[in-house]
Order: sequence, then C-alpha cells, then structure tokens
Amino acid sequence: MARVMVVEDDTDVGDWIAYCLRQDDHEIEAVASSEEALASLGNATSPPDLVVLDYALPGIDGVDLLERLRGTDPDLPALFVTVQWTGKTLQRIDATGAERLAKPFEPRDLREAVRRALAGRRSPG
Amino acid sequence: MIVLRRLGTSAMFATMFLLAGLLGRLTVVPETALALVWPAAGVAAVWFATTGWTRWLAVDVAVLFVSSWAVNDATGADTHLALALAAAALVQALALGVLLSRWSPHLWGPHASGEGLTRFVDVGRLLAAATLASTVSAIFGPASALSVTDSDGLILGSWVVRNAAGIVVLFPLGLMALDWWQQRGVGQTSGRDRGQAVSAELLALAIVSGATCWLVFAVNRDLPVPFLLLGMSVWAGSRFPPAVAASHTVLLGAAVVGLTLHGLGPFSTIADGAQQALVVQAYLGLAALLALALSVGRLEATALTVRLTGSEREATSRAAMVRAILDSMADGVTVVDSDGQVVLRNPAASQLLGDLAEDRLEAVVPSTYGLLHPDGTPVGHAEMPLARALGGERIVDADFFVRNPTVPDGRLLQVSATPLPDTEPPSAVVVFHDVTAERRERDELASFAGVVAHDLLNPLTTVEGWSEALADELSAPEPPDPDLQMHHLDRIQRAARRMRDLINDLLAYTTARDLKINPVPVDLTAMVEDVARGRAEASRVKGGEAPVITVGCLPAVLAEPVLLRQVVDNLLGNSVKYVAPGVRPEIDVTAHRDEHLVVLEFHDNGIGIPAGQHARVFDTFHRAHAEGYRGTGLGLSIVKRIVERHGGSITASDNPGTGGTTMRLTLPAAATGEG
Repeated sequence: MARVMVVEDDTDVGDWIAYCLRQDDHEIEAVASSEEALASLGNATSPPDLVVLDYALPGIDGVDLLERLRGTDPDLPALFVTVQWTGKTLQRIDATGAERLAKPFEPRDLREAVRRALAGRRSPG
Repeated sequence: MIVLRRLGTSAMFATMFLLAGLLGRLTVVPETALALVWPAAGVAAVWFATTGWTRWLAVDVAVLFVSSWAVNDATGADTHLALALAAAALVQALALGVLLSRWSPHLWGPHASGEGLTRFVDVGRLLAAATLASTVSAIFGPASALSVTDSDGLILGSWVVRNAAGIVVLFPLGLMALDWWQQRGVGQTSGRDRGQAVSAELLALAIVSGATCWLVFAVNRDLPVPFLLLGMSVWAGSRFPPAVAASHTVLLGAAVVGLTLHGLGPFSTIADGAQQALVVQAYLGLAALLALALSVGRLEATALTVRLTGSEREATSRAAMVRAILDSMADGVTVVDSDGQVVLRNPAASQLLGDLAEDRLEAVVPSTYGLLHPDGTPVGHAEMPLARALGGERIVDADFFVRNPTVPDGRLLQVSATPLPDTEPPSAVVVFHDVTAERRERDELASFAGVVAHDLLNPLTTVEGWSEALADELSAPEPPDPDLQMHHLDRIQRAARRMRDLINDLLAYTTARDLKINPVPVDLTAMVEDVARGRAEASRVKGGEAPVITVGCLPAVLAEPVLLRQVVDNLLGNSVKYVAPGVRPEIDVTAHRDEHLVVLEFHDNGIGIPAGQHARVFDTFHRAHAEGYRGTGLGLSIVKRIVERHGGSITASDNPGTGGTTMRLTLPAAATGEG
C-alpha cells in the first residue's frame, strides 16, 4: 500500500484513476490542479510515495509541477498519464526520469505502471 | 534542259570574253604588243567562278582557250603569241580558282555570290589571289611576248598588274551583276527617302568625278596630279555599296585609259610605252582596290553595327524581362557585392526586410535589419547568409527571424544564398522566402491536433475505464449496488456528451472557416428571437428555469444566415451557461446602426470573464472557466472567425450593471428596407 497523489484536471479521468488504485488498497489524494497539489503538499506532514499526474495541466504544467514537488522530495516517484503527441513533450517527460502511460489505458496498465514507478524509488540513505 | 542552259551560259561568257578581249586589244601599246588594260581577265574569272570545280569546267576550259586565241589572232597577234596568251588566260583563271576556293570558298563555285564579298579580309584575299594568278600566268603571256618583241622586262610587271587590276575591278562587279540578274524583281529593300538621297549623292559623285577627270586629264597639261581622282574612289568606296564603287572604278578607268591613249593627261607624257602601261595599270589597280576596300569595310562595319544594335536591343529586352520577373516575385532577391553594395534588390526584398532609411544608402548594414536566429539570439556578422555566401558557402533554406522598426511584429524568413561566379568584385545572391504564415499555420495545426487529441482521449479514457469498472461491478459475486452503477453510467454518459460536443464544435469550426459566404439581408430580430425560443425550450426540457431573453428592435444585416445563426446560438448559449448557481440567466440583446455597420450587443448577468482574459477568450481552445462548466474552448473562436469573415469585429467587456459580460460585435448592415 502506498500513498498516491493524483493530479488530473479532468476529474472524470482523475476519479477513475483514484477508483482503480483504491481497489489496490492505495491511499489516494486526488486534486484537479497544480496549485492544489502544491498547497496539499505544503500542508502535508510527509510527501506522498508516488504522484500520478497529467502533463497538460492548466497553468503550471505536469513537468514543472513535478520539479517543484521534487524540491521537497528529490526522489519522489512519478507517473505521467498523458496524450503523447509531440516529441518535445516526451523529451521533457523522459528528462524527469518518471514513468509514463498513454491515454487511454487499461486498469492493468495503470497498475503495472504504478508498480514500476514505486519500485524505482531509491532506498533512503 | 540543264545542258542547254549550261551551254547558253558558256556561250554568253565566251561572247563577253571576246568583246572584252577586243576592247582590251584596242588599247595595245604599239612597242609592247600588249594591251594597256585587260578586262577579259575579269570576265574569265567570273566565268570560271560561276562554273566552279564541276565537269562543265572542261567545256569552259576549251571554249576559253579557243576564244582567247581567236581574239588575239584576229587583232594582229601572230599565232605563236596568240596561243601563248590563250594558255596564259587559261592558267590565270584556273590558278585564281585554286587559290580562291581555298581562301574564300564562298567566292568560288555555283554558289558564288557578290554578297559573299562583305568582309575586308575577302578583298585582301581576292587581291592576293589575283596577283599570284597573274604572276603564274605571266610565265606564258609576257614570256612569249618577250620572245617575239624587243621590249624590256617592264612588260612582265605590266602584265601582272594589268591582269590583277582587271580581276580586282571586274570580278566583284561581275558577281554582283549576276546576283542582280538572278534576284531581279525580288524585294526592294531601300525606302523611298533613302533611295532618293542615295540617287542625289550618286549623281553628285558622277558629276564631280567627271569634272575632276576632265580637269586633271583634259584641261590640265602641265601639273601631274592624277592622284586627285583617287579622292573620287574614296568617296565612292566610303559612301556606296561595292557594286557602285566597282562600277565607278570601271568608268573612271575607261576614261583614264581612253584619255591617255589619245595623248591627254599626265600619263600621256610618259615616253616609254612599257613604263606608261605599268603606271596606268598600277594607278587603276590602286583606285579599284581603294574603292573596293573602303566599300566592303563600310559594309562590314554596317553589318557589325546592325548586329550590335540587335544584340543591344535583345540584351535590353532580356534585362527588362528579368527585371519584370524579379519585380513581380513574392520572394525577395538581393545581390550584394563584397563591399556591401547592393547591386540589385527587388521590391519583395525591401518589403520583407523592411524599407529601412539606411537601405536607401544602397549599402548593407547588417545590424539595421535586426536579423535574429529563430530562437531570438542575434546573428553575428560572420553568420549572415550574405557573408557566408561571399565566403564561397552555399546556404539552402536556412531560417532567420527579422525584426526592425519597419517590421515590428517580426517575420520568419527562409533564406538561401549562393555566391555568383565570375563577378568582380565577388558578389552573392540572397533569396528570402516569407514562411511566417506557413510556420504559424503549421504550429497552429500541430497545437490544434494536440488539443483535439487530448480532449477526445480524456473522455475516451473515462468511457473505457468506467465501463470496465461497471463490468467488474456487474460480474462481482456480491449483489450489485444500483447507486454505484448509476454513478459509473453517469460518468460514461458525461464523457460521451463531451466527445459529441467537441466533434460538433469541430465541425462548426470547420464550417465557420470554409463555408462559402453568400451574404443576404437577414432579419436579425426574427433570427435572435427564434434562437432565444430554442434556448428557452431546451432549458424547460431539462427541467430548469427558462432564461429571460429580451430582444430589441435590431436592424437587418447582410450575412450568411447559417453562420449568423451559429454566432447568435453560441453567444446566447454562453450567456445561459455561464451563470452562478441558482441565478436565472437574463440576456438583453440590442443593436444600432453605425454608418454601414450594425453594432450588435449581448448583455448578460453571468459570472463574467476573469480580468486579463477578455481578448484571450476568443483564442482556440481557451477556456476562461474550465472548472465547473463544460465546454470545448471553441465556441467563441468560432464566433470570432465568422464575424471576421463577414468583415466585422468582436470584443468582450464587463457588463457593469450586472457583473456579467457584454459581447459587442459588428456586421455589415443591409440596405434600408431590406431584411
């Protein structure tokens, strides 16, 4: 079980991701914008184990948000769920070292991607 | 037929040769037994030239030999001399043929023509050939003469000069006479005015020549000034065609010979017959050569001038054509030399780079163009396409950005530059192609495709995901939870509606862009009321409170009805949708005429547009209220596109009375009484 933050401006998609992950007993916090995510992290006592986020977020986009989140936790695992339409987007995402998953996706793809992202977290120390 | 014609030609030349021979024999100097002039040499040359190296030459050789023998024999020469002179005439004509057909082939053979004698070099070759041929023939003629007379060796020289003079004078004239005979009646080329001027000058030449001849040879008996007549030859040669110049020489020669034989003129005072013959022949040969050389030289110069004028006209025409092409090109073209001087620049180049004040100095000052790399970094002087091309490099389709005071918004240019070979100083041509709109369209298309993909794939993800969740619920062993299943279904339906709305808006967006506009007068009041009724009905169907839409008296507009209805529907739809929860939408639609436009306004009591977004709400896919309100971000961009395609404009502002929004747009007004 892990604490997962889901950042998705499309709440129908965000809710479904949360629904899937809850079925795997993960603890989910779903927010609809980067600003909410930053505010939530500021109020939290500890960072989440994983952040699942959209790339095309309004305002602060997904990559910029992840950089800010990693200001608090440099090893924070991340999974981008996004529509991959340009090479530039992919380059930016891959530069973060995060996992990525293309929409639309099956629940098992999501679970597998989450598992990979959580396994990639480096051990403390 | 051909045989008869050929025999006729031979007979004609034989007759002319006999006549010329008899004429020549009338000028025999008693002490030498040789004629003073020998026009028969010229006739024989023309005769053999027109025959050329054909089988008919054998016939002509025989006829010439017999004719020459006959004329000498009939005029008192003994048989031995007559045969020797006939052999000499034959050798001379053949030797001339050998030399001329080698040096100036166009002057020998059936194709020989007087028009071939248009180059100065041909005159020189004719003179050389005539002199050599006469020298060779002298072995037969003078040698025989010397053997039967007591004359001194001057006869040898007289023979050569006499016969050469006969050829030089009569050969061109004979060929030209044949030309005239063959082309008589074909094409009169000279204009009447010019012809009259030439005739007047020709008459003057004849009068002055005759008078000079009379003064020098008949009246004057003491002063040896025969050279004054050479001035007449200069006149004839420098002002008239070779035919006239040669004819003038013949007539002048005849007069000089005739007067001298009658004991008149400076040459008659020469006591020794051989010396007299040599001087007269040299004089006539020089006069002939002078006139012919000048005339042919003039002809050559005229031909050269005509050719040069033609070339100049062609070059001017070509330059004008190239200039017209350059001026009409949409691409900019500039040629600059290594000193930075603009050698050529077409209007498109000035327009693309900006019509800068510094430009008028016609010197390239790189910094004034505001040349940047596409990423905005400045371009160094060495990186300039021009500098690179002048360095020998070829640049193909490199992108540069230009921003300067005359192109404040900037322009993306695709630049090609090539060094121009063989230019001094070294120059290069630079071609500019404006790709600003093309790249913007490409970027917009990519962005559009990206947003569409995103906005379709998100609801698709929702549909697939929640459908699977619903299937899991239904297949679970526990009794199904109706509320949960309804929740899943609601998500699926909502996502399907989003996809449908987006597809509808995409179609409307395409229609707004591509539908051909056929503007007709539209009763705006009726149209807005009709759309308003539809909105009210839709709200009632959904069980909500119908919006209050007040429609004033709206002037008729000139528009495409299908697109105008889309505009009204989108604007009323936005006003109905974007209201605070629990607030009944109230919309006031007003309009007034402003000259040839109708200003149409939609005032609502909605939630308004956030500060700073009043212009951006018209951008494609921009959504001012993404949270809590469904939408595709295309509605207002569709409205803007349609309004602009009608020649109008649209702005958004706050509605101070209600806190909502006022949409103000202009459309072309219909003529009074229409609609």
